[in-house]
Amino acid sequence: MQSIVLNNGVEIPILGFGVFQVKDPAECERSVVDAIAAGYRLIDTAASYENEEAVGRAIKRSGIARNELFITTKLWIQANGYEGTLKAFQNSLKKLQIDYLDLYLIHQPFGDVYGEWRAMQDLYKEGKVRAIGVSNFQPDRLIDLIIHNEIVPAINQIETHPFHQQNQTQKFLEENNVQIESWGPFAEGKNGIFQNQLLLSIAHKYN
Amino acid sequence: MEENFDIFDFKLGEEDMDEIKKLDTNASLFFDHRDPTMVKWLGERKLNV
Repeated sequence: MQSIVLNNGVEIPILGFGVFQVKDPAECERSVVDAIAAGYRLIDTAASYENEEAVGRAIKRSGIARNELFITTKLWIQANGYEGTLKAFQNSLKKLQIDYLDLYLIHQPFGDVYGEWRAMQDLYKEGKVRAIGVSNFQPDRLIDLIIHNEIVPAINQIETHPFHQQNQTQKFLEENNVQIESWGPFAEGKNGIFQNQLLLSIAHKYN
Repeated sequence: MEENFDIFDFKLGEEDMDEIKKLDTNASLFFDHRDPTMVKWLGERKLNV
C-alpha cells in the first residue's frame, strides 16, 4: 500500500475505507473486518456516523497491530468549541477503543471552528493525535483558518469525483501545503456514474 | 471490495484524462456548503455523538 507524506512528516496510505452511512452495527463491523482483510489500512469514520463503536470492535478483531492501521475520525458541529472538542475526542477514542488517533478532522466548516481548532492543536501537541485537519472547507475558509492559527491543517477532505474534480481547489491546497483527501470517489453512485459511457469505455480499455 | 482495492496495476493515459476532464460540472452533487438552509439544518441536528 503506497503512502504519501503530510506536511508534518506523518505518512498516510493513499487509499482508505470509509463507513459513512453504514449505520447497522453488525454490518459496519463486518465491512471493516473485511476491508482490513482485503488490505485496507486506513479506516475513516466520524462521530456523526454513529458507528465508531462498530469500527472499534472491527479494529480489535482484525489482528493487525495498531501502528499498522491509520484511523481517522471527525469532530461534529455539536462539539461547539474548545471544551466540547476535548470531550468529543475522548468519547471517540473510547468508542474506537484506541489510545491515540492518526487523523482528527473538523467535519464541517460550521459552528465554533476556531475554538475547536485550538483544542485540536493542543491535542496534537500532547501527542494524542498524529495529524489534524479539516473536511469540507472551501479555499476561503481554509486560508482564514490557516492565517489566524499556528498549525496548518495536514488534510482537507473534500468531495472529489469525475463530476466534481476540484481541479482549482487541488492547486490551492498544494500551494498552501495542505493534502487533499477525497470523499465520494464514485459520487455515491449518483449521476449515473456506473453507466457513464466514457468511464465504461476507459474501464474496458484497461480491464 | 477487493476490486475497489485492486487499482494500482494501471495508469490512465493523457487523452483519457482530457476526456474525463469534460465530465466536471464544478459543483457538488450533494449540497452547497454556502446554502443557509443546509448550514442551519446541519448545525441544529442533535446526534448521538
